[in-house]
Amino acid sequence: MRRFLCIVMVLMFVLCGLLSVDAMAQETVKIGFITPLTGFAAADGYSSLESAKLAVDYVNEHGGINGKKLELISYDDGCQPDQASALTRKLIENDKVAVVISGSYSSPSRAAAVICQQAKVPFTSTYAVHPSIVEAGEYCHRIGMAAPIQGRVGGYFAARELGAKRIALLIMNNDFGVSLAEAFKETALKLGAEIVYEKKYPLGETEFRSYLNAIKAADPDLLYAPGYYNEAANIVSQAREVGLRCWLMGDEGYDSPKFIELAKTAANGVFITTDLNRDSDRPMTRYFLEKYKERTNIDADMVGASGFDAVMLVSHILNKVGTKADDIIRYWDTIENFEDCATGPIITFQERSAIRPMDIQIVLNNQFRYFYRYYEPEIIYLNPPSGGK
Amino acid sequence: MLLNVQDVEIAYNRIKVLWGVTLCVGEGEIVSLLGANGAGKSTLLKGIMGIAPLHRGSISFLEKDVSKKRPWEKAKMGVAYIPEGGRVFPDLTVEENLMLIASLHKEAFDVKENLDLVYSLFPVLKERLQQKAGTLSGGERQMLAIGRALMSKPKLLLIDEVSMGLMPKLVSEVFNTLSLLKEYGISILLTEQNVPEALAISDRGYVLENGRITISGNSEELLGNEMVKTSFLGL
Amino acid sequence: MLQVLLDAIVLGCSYALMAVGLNMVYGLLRIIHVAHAALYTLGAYVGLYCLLNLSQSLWISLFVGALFSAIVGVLMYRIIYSPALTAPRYVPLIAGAGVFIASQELFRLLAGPYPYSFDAHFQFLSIMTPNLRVTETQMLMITFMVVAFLCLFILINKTNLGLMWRACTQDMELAASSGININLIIAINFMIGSALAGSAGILMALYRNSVFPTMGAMVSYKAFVVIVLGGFGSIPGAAIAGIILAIAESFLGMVPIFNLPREAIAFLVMILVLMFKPKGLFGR
Ligand SMILES: Nc1ncnc2c1ncn2[C@@H]1O[C@H](COP(=O)(O)OP(=O)(O)OP(=O)(O)O)[C@@H](O)[C@H]1O
Ligand SMILES: [Mg+2]
Repeated sequence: MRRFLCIVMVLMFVLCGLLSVDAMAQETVKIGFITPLTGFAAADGYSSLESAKLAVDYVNEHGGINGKKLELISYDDGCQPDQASALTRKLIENDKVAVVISGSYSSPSRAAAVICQQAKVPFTSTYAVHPSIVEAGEYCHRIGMAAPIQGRVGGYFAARELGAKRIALLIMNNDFGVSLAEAFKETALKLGAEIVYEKKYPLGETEFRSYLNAIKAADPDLLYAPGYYNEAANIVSQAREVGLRCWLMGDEGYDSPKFIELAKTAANGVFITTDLNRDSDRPMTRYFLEKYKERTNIDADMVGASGFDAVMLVSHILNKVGTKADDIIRYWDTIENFEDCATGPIITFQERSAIRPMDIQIVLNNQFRYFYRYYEPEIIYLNPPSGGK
Repeated sequence: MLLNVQDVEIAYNRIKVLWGVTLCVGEGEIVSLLGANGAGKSTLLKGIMGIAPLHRGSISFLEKDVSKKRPWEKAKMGVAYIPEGGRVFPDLTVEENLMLIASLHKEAFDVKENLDLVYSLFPVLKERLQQKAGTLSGGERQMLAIGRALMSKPKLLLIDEVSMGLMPKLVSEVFNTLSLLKEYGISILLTEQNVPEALAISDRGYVLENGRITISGNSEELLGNEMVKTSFLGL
Repeated sequence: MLQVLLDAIVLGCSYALMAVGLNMVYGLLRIIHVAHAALYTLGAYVGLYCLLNLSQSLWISLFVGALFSAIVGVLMYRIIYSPALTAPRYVPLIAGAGVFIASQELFRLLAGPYPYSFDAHFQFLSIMTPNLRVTETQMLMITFMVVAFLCLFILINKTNLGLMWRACTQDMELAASSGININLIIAINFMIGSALAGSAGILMALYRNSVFPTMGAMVSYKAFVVIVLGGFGSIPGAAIAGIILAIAESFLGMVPIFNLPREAIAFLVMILVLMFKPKGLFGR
C-alpha cells in the first residue's frame, strides 16, 4: 500500500513537472515593475501600475512582443529604497525579467537603478526626476522629464514669458522638490529675476499660512512651489485665502485631477510644467485618457501617463531587438521621435533621459488646459546640442 | 458566615504564594491574620477583594459565591479594603476622598450619618477637608484611609497593617477605634505586625506561614500558643 | 501678525484635540496610545461617507464620525490594549503602532489611495475685515475646541464621573476596590478621547478639503510633541501646549534666516523641553 502511494506521488510530481514545462512552452516576455502600493505614495503607485497594465493590454492586443505575450510582474516597494533594492533583485534573479521599470519616487528608483546597473539589466524610471537615477550607469534610462529640464522650463516661463522679476520659492523638501527648485532658481537668476523668499517644507505638511503670509510681505511677482498635488492643493487654496496676489506656478506633481478637486476654485490660474497635454489630439494620448478613465473610473494623471509610456517604449524596443540587454541598450540610445506615447512625443534620449517638447498648462474653469509649448533645444535638452538651434 | 474562604491558591507569575488557605469571618467578629514578612497576608486580602485573581478555591460573602466578582462589585456588596501604607487618592482633597466613596454607595446609606461617624472618630479630618490628601501626615492619611472605608458603611472591613508607620500612642487609638466599629455592625479581618494589640481587640486569629494556615484559634488560645509566643511575641 | 497668530491658533486647535485624547489615555493607563491617530483618519472617512451618502449636513457627519471613532476607540482598548496592560510597557506601544500602520492600509484598501475632497456646505460665523480674516471653518474649529474643552473641564472637575476619573488616574487599584467600575471609566475615557480625535479629523478634513489614508501621520507626531511639551497626562497642558506649539511653529517659520521646516521646529521644541523641563510645562 505504502509503495503504491509512493508511486502515485512520484507520478504526480512528474506530471506536475511536465505540466510546468508545458506552461513554459507558451513563453512570455516578462518586464518587471516596482511601485508603491502601500504607504504615503500609494495613490501614485496605483495610477502608475494601472496605466502600465493598460499599456500591457494594448501591446498584447496588437500582437504582443514578436508574437509572444508581454507579461508585467509588479511588486509593491512602499516607496522605500531598501524595499526597492530587494524587489529589484527578486525581479532580476527569480522572475528573470528582461527590463525593470520603476513607477516609484526618486529615492527608491535610484536604489533600483543601482541594482539593475550591477546586474546589467536595462532599467527605466517613469516619473522620478532626480538626476542621479540615470547616473547609475549605461543601463539606466528615464522616461519622464529630468528635474534640470523641468526646472529650467519653469524658470524660463516665469522669468521670460511671464516676466516675473521677484520670485518666491516654497519647496517640498525631498529629491523631487529640491532638484526642481535648484534648476528653476539657476535659470531664473540667469534671466535676471531675484529670489525674494525661499523656504523648504516637509512632505505631508498641510499648514502653509505662516509661510504664505511671509511671502505676501515679500511681495513677489510669482510663487514657484515645486511639490506634489496634496501639498500643492493646500498651498494654492491657502495662498488665495491669505490674499497672495501673484502668479502661482507648480510642476508635473500638480498634474492630477485630484489637485483641482482638492484646491477647488483656488486652482484656477495656476501654471504647471508637464508633459501630459490633455488637449492634445494625438491618438495615443486620447487612447490613454479614455481607457484609463474607463478602467479605473478616475481621470488620468501625469504619473499614470509616464507609466503607460514606459511600457509602450520598452515593448517597442523589445519588438525591435529582442530581449538581450546589450541590444536593448544600444537601440535605446538611438531612438528618435517615438510617437506611441501618451505624453508629448519623445524626440530622443540624451544622457539616457527622454527629451521631448515641454508644455506649460494652466488651470482654467477647473480643468488643465494647454497654454504654451517649448521646442527650443537650449531649453528642452539636458545639454543643448552644439551648433545652437 | 459573613465571609468564607475555601482552599484558596494565588500565584504571581506562576509562583504560588498561597497554598490552599481556608478561613472564615463571622458576623460582628474581628479576626486577625498573623504571619512573618512575605507570608502572604496582603496577598490573601487582595484575593478576597478580587484584586489578585484566584488560581483555585472559592470565596463566598453573605452565603453568595463571589470568587469571580470584580473588586467594585464586592465593594458594592459591602466589602471595604484598606490597603497597606495608608493609600488614599493623593490629588483629591480630603473631602473629595470621602465624598467619592459616599457617592458610590449613596443608594444604600445616609451620607450625613456616615460622615458624622467618620468625623466623630477622626475629628482632625474635619479640619483638613480642603487639603490635598497627598499632603497629609502619615497618621492623618491612615485615618483618612479608614474614614474612606467607613463612608461605604461596609459589612466587612479588610485592613492591611493599619498600624504601619504610626506612633505607639496613635496605634492604640486606632485599635480603639476599630474595636468601636464592632458596635456599628462592622466585621473586620485585619493583618498586623503588632500582635499583642491586634489580638487584644480580636475575637479570633489565624497564623499564616509560607502561604499556609498553620495555627488558628481564639485570641486567648493564640496568646498562649508556644509558637506564637516565640515567633511574634518575642517571649 | 494678528492674522498669523489666529491661523496658528486654529492649527493649534487640531493639535490640542488630538493630544487631549492621548493624554487622557496616558493619564489613566500609562500607555502611549499610538493608534489614536487612526481614529482621526477614521473620523474623517466616516464623516465623508456620511456627507456623500446620508446627508448633506456637516453637523450630522460630524456627529456620526465622532460616534464611530468613539466606538472603535473603545473596541481598540478592549481588543489590543486591555490584554497588553500587564505586559511590559513597550508591548502596548508596539501593538498600537502596528494598528496605526495597518489602519492606513485598511483605509487605502477600502477607499482607495487617492485623496477625497471634503466639500461640506454649512453656515457659521465669519470675520472678514482687511486686517483679519477668520473663515467659517476656522471659526468653527475654534468654537468647537473651546466648547469641547469647557465641557471636558466641567466634566472632570465638577461632576461625579469626573471625580471617579480623577481617582482612577491616581490609583487604579484603590479606585476599583472603592467601588468604581474601572472598566466603565476606561471605556468612557476612550470614548471621549476618540470622539475628540474623530471630530478633529473631520474638522481638519473640512479645513484642508482632503481626506486620505495617511492623513493621521503628521498629526500624530505633532500630538506626541504636544504631550511632551504640555506634560504627560495633563489635560489643560495638552490644550495650551497644542496652541503654543502651533504659534511657535508659525512664527519661527516666518523668520527668513531660520530656515527650518515646521516639523523640525516641533522636534526642536520637544528636545528643548526634555532638556530643561522634562516633565513638560504643566507636568507634575
Ligand atoms: N505583585 C507581585 N508580584 C510578584 N510577587 C509578589 C507580588 N506581590 C507579592 N509577591 C510575593 O508574594 C509573597 C507574599 O507577599 P505578601 O505581600 O502577601 O506578604 P505579606 O505577608 O503581606 O508580607 P508583609 O508582612 O511584609 O507585608 C512575597 O514573597 C512577595 O514577594
Ligand atoms: Mg503585607
